[in-house]
Amino acid sequence: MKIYLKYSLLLAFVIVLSAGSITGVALLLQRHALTYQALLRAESIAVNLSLVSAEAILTRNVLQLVPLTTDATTRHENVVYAAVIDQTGLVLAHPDRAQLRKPFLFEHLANETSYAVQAAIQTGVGLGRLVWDVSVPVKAKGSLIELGRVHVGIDQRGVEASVSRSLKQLFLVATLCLVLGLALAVYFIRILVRPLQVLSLASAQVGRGDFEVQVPVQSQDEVGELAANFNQMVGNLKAAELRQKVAQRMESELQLAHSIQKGLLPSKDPDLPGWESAFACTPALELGGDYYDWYPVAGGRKVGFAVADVSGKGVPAALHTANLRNLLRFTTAEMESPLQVMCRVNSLAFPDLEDKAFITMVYAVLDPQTGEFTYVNAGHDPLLWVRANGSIEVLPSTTYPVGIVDGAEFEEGTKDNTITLEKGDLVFLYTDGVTEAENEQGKQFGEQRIASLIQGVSAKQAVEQVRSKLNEYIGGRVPHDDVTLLALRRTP
Amino acid sequence: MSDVKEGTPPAGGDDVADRLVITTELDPNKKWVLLSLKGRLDVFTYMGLSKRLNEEIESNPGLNVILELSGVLFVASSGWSVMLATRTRLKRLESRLVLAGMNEDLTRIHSAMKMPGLVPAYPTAAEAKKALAGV
Repeated sequence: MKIYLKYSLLLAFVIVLSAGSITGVALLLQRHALTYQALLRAESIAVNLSLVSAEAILTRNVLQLVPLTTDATTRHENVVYAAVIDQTGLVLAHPDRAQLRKPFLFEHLANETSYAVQAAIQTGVGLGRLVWDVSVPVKAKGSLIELGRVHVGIDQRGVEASVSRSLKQLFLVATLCLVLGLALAVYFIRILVRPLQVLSLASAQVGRGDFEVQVPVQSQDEVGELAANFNQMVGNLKAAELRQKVAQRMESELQLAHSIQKGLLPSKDPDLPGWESAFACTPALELGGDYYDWYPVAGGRKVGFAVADVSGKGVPAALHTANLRNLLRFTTAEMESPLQVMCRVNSLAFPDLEDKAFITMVYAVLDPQTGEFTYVNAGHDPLLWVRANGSIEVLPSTTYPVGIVDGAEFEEGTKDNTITLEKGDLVFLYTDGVTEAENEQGKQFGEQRIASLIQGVSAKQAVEQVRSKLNEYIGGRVPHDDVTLLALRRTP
Repeated sequence: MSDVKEGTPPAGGDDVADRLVITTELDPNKKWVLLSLKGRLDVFTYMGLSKRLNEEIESNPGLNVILELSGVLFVASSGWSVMLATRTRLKRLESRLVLAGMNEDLTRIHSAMKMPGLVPAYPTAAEAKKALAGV
């Protein structure tokens, strides 16, 4: 049921109840007033007759009163009789001459005391009608002796008929007012409820995802406040939707960027007879700052390997990583020496990185024929050289990370380092996402744990074991840094 | 008497504020300002440190800065970046950044990145203060 109908019915009930109560009380008052008026008129007639009757009785000229009683019944509405009786109760004057000198006939039923008149009022039957008999004594002027009484009969049904006519008019007016009041009430309720209907329709629009809708604020009352709050709410929803769309777009773009970055990694291991290699690269966020690649060097006779870690994470780190990839591809195609490559990359990358980020990196060139492995470790975690006999050598950083110092300062402390890998030897490179991974107690995975996992195994096993143990170590929690692993082994 | 004030990094909001607490001490002789760090200097907190360092450098131009790291167990690459950028900024102002109180792990990384030549480190804050007092 519509709200305006509910309120209209409620208001109609209240109006009918109120109007009915008021009309009922008015009817009672009207009835009383009309009856009182009739009785006062009867008392007035009786008093007037009484005044002239005293002299007529004393002068024994009572017949002159008969026309007066007749006149009283004909001139006044609802007066059934007017009679003058003597002290013994015989009728002295009456409109019906047949009643003269006979006892006054009146069947007394009850005394009436509800009305404030001086005359005596009784309810009873007179001349065959139900009447109020209003009587006053007849006394000589200045005397207390009662010479007789004047009785005036008021027809109760006649008065009731007058009351009824009056009440009908009152009821008609009340009904008209009631109908008019109801019509106005329904009209005003519809006006009052209309903003709510507008809000209801607007809410439905919002529910369908339309956040452009606004409702007019037409008043300063609670409904106006509701409309203003509604508009604000829709505005907030619109802003939230926009933020969600932006977030979705960014998430989508990050996923796309992640896919692109993944595509920047080499799709296959280098084809090196007598050698095996394996790598894994997992970013902590959608985009990572770790990088791995290999390049044919010296016309394909040698292979260059790079493992790098750009400081920071996310989009900035990924952008620097993409830049590094291009610089390395470009540089390694022209130069063979890791020292030269590293210096060139540093000088090219320095302007972009200075004070914003740096790159720790290992770049190494392998001669598959001789096993010579020449590298530069620029601020990166140490390389682990696992010899065929099980011993492990730690090859630490030899120069600054890329992007911290420029030109000569970088070259000054940098040199090529060469080791020779024999059959069964393995070189393991990793980023700090491995060593700094923490377990639930906050203890880091560490270099020693890596070393214990890569002895006497193939390149692929080395990578898989470290990866597997690392995941086990962090206990299923999300790693807080990128993880890159590279193993290169000369087959026994 | 040194002027000591408590502070937390604004980066990341309240939920990460307790990951790195920074306490500042100003040398009464106006030679250095010391920032004691407690917590983790990682991807969530490095911006807070960067902002705080910039504020201190602007408030105390020309003063050397000591980063006291005895309460820091972990420094991510982002954290080292902040230190290197601060070092460059102070160098332009003819001031220095020094580190103090690093644990064994941090000292190893600090050395691996050849940072001792760029950002010197002292075993304790007292030694760092003493070294800078004579500058």
